[in-house]
Amino acid sequence: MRIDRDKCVGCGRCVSYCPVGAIQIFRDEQNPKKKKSRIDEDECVECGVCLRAQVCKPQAIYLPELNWPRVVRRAFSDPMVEHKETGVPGRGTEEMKTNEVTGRFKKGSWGMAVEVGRPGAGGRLKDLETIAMALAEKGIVFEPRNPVTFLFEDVKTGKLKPELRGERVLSAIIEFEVRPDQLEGVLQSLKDVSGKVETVFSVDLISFPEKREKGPALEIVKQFGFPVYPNGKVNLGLGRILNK
Amino acid sequence: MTHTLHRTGDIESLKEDFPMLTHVARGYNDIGAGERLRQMAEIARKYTDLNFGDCKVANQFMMRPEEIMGKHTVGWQVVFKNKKSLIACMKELKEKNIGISVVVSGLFDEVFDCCKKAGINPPLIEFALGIHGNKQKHH
Repeated sequence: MRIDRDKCVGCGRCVSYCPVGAIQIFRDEQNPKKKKSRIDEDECVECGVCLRAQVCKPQAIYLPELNWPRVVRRAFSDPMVEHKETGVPGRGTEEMKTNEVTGRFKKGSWGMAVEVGRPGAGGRLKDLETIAMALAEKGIVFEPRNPVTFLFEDVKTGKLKPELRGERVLSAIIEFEVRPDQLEGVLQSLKDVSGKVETVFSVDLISFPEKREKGPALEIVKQFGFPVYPNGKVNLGLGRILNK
Repeated sequence: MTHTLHRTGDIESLKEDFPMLTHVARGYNDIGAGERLRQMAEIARKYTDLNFGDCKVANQFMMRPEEIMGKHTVGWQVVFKNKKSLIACMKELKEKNIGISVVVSGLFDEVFDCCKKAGINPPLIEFALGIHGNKQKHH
């Protein structure tokens, strides 16, 4: 996002709308009595919140043409934009939401998702690469119907296309299936990598409830020191075509 | 972005927080899904008027819900505050069997109780295993 310096009146209304704190007020060098707003382009994730908020009366905020690789910021940060690879807006993955129809995750293994960055924090894709490469070493296969998978130069190692490492997004989700023999290694890798990244990441576990049991993986997860929230998502199975 | 998986709060506050979302399965039931999503939204809105929206269109604070309901392509989101309404909505969605995936977030004990009362046996659940990484920088 950009702010047209000539149109900006320096009211500062836009500042609090930026989820990553990328808008600053500064004294206009050409006229020190006046203030202006500007967007730190390196920090901006191109989410478009400042524009959609419609708080800029002189309409100084605008979306410039975004080229590769910067366009990736908008794809992962602006929920109004649909990922062209998956046709899904937001973070671009159906994840477990439609699993009864798609059979993406199958009984006998678990689904996992690692979301790098958070709304309010953001994250560089180099952090995503650090985590993805650590996971790939454990032999996991990245979910093909997730836009993050299209960012890899080498989908087997989790190595990113090099020009993407410095790009910053609100958040992006690494998604994969974990076999029982892989779970402990994956959890250990996530613990090991936790101190090596600049941003935060959240971890999700997708499981099949047997009767009212909440999944045998939880005991292993707890042994590795991961918290298990008492709340989460429940797929009601109403999309039909229940997978065999 | 809903981020309903990582909602935090004390147990009492979470007992009154049940986001529901619908989502089409691309390549399976997305063709002509707009009308079915509208029908399901009409059912949900009979039981709650909290935070109805479609992340590709708008939310009820930006656009009239009736207008939003004419523009669905992928799914919609809504929030329930009490179990009675949620159970009634679940029951009707199950009976009408319109055929689009529905996900409810909330305390597992509460959501499972609602499912049982609505005659629903959920096939899949997602657990939140916490926030990690550089929490000093981002708190």
